[in-house]
Amino acid sequence: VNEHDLADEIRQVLDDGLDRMDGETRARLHAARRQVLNSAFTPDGRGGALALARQHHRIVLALLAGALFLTAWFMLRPEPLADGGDLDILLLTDDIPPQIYADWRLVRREDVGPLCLTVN
Amino acid sequence: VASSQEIDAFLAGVERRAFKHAAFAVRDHHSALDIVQNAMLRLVERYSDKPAEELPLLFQRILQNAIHDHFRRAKVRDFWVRLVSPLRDKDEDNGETLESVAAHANAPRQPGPEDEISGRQHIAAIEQALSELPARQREAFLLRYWEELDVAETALVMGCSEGSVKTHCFRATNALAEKLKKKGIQP
Repeated sequence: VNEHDLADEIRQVLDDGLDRMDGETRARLHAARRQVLNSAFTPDGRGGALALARQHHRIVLALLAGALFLTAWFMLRPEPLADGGDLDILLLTDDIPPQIYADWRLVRREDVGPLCLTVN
Repeated sequence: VASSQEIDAFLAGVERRAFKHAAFAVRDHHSALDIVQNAMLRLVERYSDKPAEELPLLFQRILQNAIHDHFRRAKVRDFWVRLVSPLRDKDEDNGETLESVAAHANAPRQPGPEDEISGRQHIAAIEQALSELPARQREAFLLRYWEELDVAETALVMGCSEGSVKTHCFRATNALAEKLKKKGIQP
């Protein structure tokens, strides 16, 4: 059997088969192609958002991971230890003497009064 | 980079051939349509940024992979079906491969008296002979002689050596000639 002669004959028969393909199959193939192209391109022929997201899926995943990390950090970060506003109010109402902020070694005993602790 | 119009035109030109490739392999109309649509989708999603002249080879490779994926999924599905169906009749399990079972179940209808158009019968006989070829032989034969890829391109699409392509084509030709002779069609 001559390989090429047989191949030529079969190719011709297969091409005839394509021409005789039933209308329903043709219509379904056409619909499938339209569906694929519509999902990938906008009507003006440019890549749609979905197509871009699919093409650049690594970047999209990195952005999503970053957003997730920031959200988790914001939700789980520790609260500040003390609220400065509360301390200011206590100072103004004389509940805390101003010397409490001073360095022990620079404070004279008479400035602090009898309640102050002494350090030896 | 291929424009959307170029991709549309390319797919319109290959969709029917692609359907036939898939139908010869899986012998199921709906599965073949699904395979072609998946192949189109993969091409557009992953390779729409490629030049138009690279699309034919890429599409053939995607299509062949989609056909292989179909059989892989069917094998997995079959495994689970066997596992979870203890009431299955043991006589059914006769050691045939999934492909041969599916082929037997979905074998194309023999042309009956209503299909008297000789051309149609001729086409059906040759298409059936092609369907009955081993998968790799059919793949090589169709890519080489229907898609008119050269040996190197066929090897690239099939993921094998050029020597294997030549061997598959040679065996396919002999097998086809034998089958057609049995059907009374003289090549």
